[in-house]
Amino acid sequence: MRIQILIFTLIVAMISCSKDNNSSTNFQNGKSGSMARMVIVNNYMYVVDNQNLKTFDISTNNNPIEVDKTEVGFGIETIFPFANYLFIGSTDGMYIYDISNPENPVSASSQHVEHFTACDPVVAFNNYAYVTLNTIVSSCGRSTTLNEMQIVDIQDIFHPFVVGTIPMAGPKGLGIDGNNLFVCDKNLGVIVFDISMPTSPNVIDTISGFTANDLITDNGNLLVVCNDGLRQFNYSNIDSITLTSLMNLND
Amino acid sequence: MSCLKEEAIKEKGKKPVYITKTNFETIESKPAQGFSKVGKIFKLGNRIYISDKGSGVHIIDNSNPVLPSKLAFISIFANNDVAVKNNIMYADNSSDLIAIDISDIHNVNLTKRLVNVFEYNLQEYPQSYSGYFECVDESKGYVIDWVDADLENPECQR
Repeated sequence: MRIQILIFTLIVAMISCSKDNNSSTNFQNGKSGSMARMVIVNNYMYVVDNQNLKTFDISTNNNPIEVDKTEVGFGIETIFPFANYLFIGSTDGMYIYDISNPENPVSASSQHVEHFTACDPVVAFNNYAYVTLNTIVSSCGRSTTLNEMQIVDIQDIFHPFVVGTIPMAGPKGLGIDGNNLFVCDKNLGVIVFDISMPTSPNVIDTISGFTANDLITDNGNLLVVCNDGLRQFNYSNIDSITLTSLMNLND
Repeated sequence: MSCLKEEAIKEKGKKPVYITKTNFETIESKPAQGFSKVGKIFKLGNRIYISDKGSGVHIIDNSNPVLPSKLAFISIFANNDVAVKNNIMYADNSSDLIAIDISDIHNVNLTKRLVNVFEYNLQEYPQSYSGYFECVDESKGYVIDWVDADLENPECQR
């Protein structure tokens, strides 16, 4: 019997100058953490319900209407919008859907990026996606843990593939801003990577002292949801990241 | 022939915590309160929305990140996710997707409920758990949580 506990996070970032359009779109759409099961893209909301991707027209306030339902797979857990795509995290891999026609998401890759374990949050930036795997795999009484970040080449969106892995302690949510990748890693806090060379992330800092679950990057302000509250950090100078505020559980 | 007295089999496990359907589906504004569990996050403009896993959404004013402040709490049972657009908060309320008008965050009102959008297994068994549990009795209401319990002759198991 195989038991899997999976956390899949997908973050997708812009590829070129066309991202500027996405930035303004994001401004109107708000920003979700990488663990989100539902995201808003313009007049539509996309929801994953463990097996399906559901599309809702939210152009009329107070009256969301389901306009599409697409079967994706099993253990679908997270969703991340980027440009005209949705990157979907599941227990058996990452799926990519094209939402050029927003009411009708279609699978962009005929093969989803498979992993032998479930994977979770994903972020993508500049032709690469970063996926954190936080799993316990049990088989016939023997269990192994797999905690790592995978780097996925998405230059050809129809044929994504894993180009590298980085071992981590217990990675969860993650976020990207330009050449920097921020990853929540168990009780180590947030690991900060330089990804100017996207296939070779380089650790440049560890923001420690708490257990982080997810985060949002916001123009130099890092919002981190921790077990003990909400922390915000100023990363506008990446070489000197400072704590802006801590909102405790009881504040 | 002797009759053996049956002894109750006792096991440690989990049992459901129930709430009435009406309470389960009630969506309302409450004064700002502390976090119980810091869940998923959504940011729009100067506001941050954080799901308090299982109980609702905190609305936080972050116009000054040095001094974020909680404005209100929207009570939503079995909530995990939140997204906001045009003063409409979209959230899960167990397996339902709800739209809430938050133009006045201290007097929100539910405007639409779409049923069976999310898979919500909490109603059937405790999540991320292997072992015995007290079977769900739907006549008792909606399950909002599972707690540790000493069980007698448990009939359900994962």
